[in-house]
Amino acid sequence: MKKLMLIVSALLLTVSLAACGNPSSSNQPAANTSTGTSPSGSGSTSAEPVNLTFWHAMSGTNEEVIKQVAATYNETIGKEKGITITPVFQGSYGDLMKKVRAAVQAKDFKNLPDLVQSPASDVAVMKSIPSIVWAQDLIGKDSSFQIDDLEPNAVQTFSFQNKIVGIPFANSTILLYYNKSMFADAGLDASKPPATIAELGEMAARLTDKPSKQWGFILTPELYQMSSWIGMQGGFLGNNESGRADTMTAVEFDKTGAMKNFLTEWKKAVDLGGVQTGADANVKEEFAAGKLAMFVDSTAALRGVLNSVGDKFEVGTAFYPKVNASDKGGVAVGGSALYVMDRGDQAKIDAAWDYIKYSSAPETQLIWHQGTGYFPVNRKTYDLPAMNEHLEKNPLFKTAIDQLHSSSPQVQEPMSAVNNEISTFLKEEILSFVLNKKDIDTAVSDMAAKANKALEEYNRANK
Amino acid sequence: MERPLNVKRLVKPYLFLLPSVALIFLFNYYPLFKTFFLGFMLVDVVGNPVEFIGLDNFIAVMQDERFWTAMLNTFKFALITIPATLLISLLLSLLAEKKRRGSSIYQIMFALPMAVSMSSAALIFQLLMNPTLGMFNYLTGLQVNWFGDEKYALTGIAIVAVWMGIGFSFLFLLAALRNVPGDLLESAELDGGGYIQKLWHIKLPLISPTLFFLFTTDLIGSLMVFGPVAVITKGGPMGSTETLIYRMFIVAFENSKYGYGSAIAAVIFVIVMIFTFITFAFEKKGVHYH
Repeated sequence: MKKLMLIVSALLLTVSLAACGNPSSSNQPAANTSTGTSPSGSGSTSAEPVNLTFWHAMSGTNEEVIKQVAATYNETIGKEKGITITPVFQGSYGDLMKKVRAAVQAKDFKNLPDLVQSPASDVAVMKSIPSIVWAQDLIGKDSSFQIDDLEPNAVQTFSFQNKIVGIPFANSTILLYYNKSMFADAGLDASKPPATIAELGEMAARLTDKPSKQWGFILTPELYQMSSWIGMQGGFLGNNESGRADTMTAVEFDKTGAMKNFLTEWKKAVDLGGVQTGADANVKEEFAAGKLAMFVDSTAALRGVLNSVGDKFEVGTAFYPKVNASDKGGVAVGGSALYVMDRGDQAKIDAAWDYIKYSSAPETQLIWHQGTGYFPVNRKTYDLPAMNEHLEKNPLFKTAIDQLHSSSPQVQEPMSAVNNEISTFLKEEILSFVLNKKDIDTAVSDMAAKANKALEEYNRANK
Repeated sequence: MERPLNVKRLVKPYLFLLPSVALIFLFNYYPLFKTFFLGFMLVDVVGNPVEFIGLDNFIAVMQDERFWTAMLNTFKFALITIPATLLISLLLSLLAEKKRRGSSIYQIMFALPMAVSMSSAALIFQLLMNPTLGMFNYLTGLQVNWFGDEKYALTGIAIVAVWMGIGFSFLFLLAALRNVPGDLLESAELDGGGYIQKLWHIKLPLISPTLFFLFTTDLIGSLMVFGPVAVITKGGPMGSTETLIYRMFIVAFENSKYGYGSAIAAVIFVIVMIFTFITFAFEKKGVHYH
């Protein structure tokens, strides 16, 4: 009898374990039905409420604005149409993309969001995910959306063979930030920030005071910076128009001489002694602490920088320095786009598309721009009186917009799925040349060879 | 009546084992086999194995400079953290060994790092060891860019890991030391044995099973270190803190090369297994069970 009891209890234990496992696994479908998995397709009645999940990578000041925009939508248009959107912060772009990749790899479409914000550097990955609904298809069905209103540079960023994958949402360019008070103290004209890398090197040297750990400029260039520094010289970084005309299979910066030009100028600048390169530094903190005179970062950092500097000193913004004074290409568009994911429910796709349209509308983009520093992706935003008022009051925000409008849409980050790897190779090889570990030709050919190998490996697995 | 009972008797232990065996298979062995399987495949960005490529991935791992750098970094890390963790926690537990008034306070203090989550600890140390704003350099008078300089970053990570490991080891060693029979120590005292002699000839041999256990878990833990690297340095600067697991993570989840990443994982598994076997061989010589 005792033994029987034991067996029964052991069985009970297994059953209870199975029971424990059950609710969590059935959790998702249950949640789904409650949010309206009606099979009625696109014509589902608006009475059925739709709940959308929106993964984003905006933290700090910018996250507040994301929440504010979503809340406004939920209270107005969303309320009318029965759509509720929930923004979920998923860490940096890198962390967010890792989660998207992991969910896609596990084919866990239930846990994927309906909307994803993904950066310019990862368009190639996004376009290869089967559950992404290309924006081009959604635009084709919706005549109310005018893609011509959007900034052409940003549209180009997220397009492959002239078909747009995601709708630009939070877009930026790289920008030079500088401390005007430090310029004045060093006897430099604060209204004339450096226009070229050569000038940057000279000014940085005068702004540097090593005993008090004060630097003129800190940067270890990676793909983000190089996309603009290579692109502005005229050619493309990779073949097939950097992957936008067709799959990128090799880099081109080694053949066009653009990388060599850059390396020559950059080394001259570093050798003047005012540029710190190679060490990881938190440039925004150093800048706000008055220990760093200049740095380059996304325009989206502007609001945060202004907040952390306060009235300690006057901040200046300027165009990204050129490699050669004659460069005309300008800078690449960074930032991110919103993508719709197909999770088997047309009502959700329609709702997500509605939110995307709201996000890129002139009024929303105005709020977004004022709150963050990302430039407005909708050109109609400039027709709003409030926008002109804002730019008059805040001339620092205007620099980014002027820079964008004088840049060629052809200057872009490459559309390859191995951008992370290419970025690492560029960073390491640039550094090994600058620190005299390699001569210039070896450094260029090594980084090209490594990048080409990574592209080849990826293209072999993903045809 | 005799027979069915015997069957029950036979089945019973397996029934008890069933839940844990099922879970272990689901969460340990299935992923292990799948990893080995994917290691021989070309896997696309969506995670589908597209082509069997034999040993290509493994050959690529062996030829990958960064993999060897990661291996070297991991060994360096293990070489710093294991002795440091054991030594410091042994010293602390020797200090706390005798029960005195209020000794529970510093016992708790020594063991408390265990209660801090890895990421929070890593973030706190990142601030403490900030080159310009941090307390660490201020108090020690050093001018070291702990996590930003290639030369020191791995040591910096090791310091964080040691701090986080101390609490756990301390707790085990304290319990072991307090279990050393008092009569043995007393008779040693009667024979005129001093503190060092008692420590060397009685306490250490008697706590050697615990030391061995800690050594083995520390070894496995440090060969598979990931957390502080991911939070603080992300493998940088210039790959100087890239460890084996971090390399695998980046290859698989950032570069979307799951096949190649799986091959790295398989190699790491073999390395850790070899080291575990070596320590178990050593156990027979160095560990004294009473």
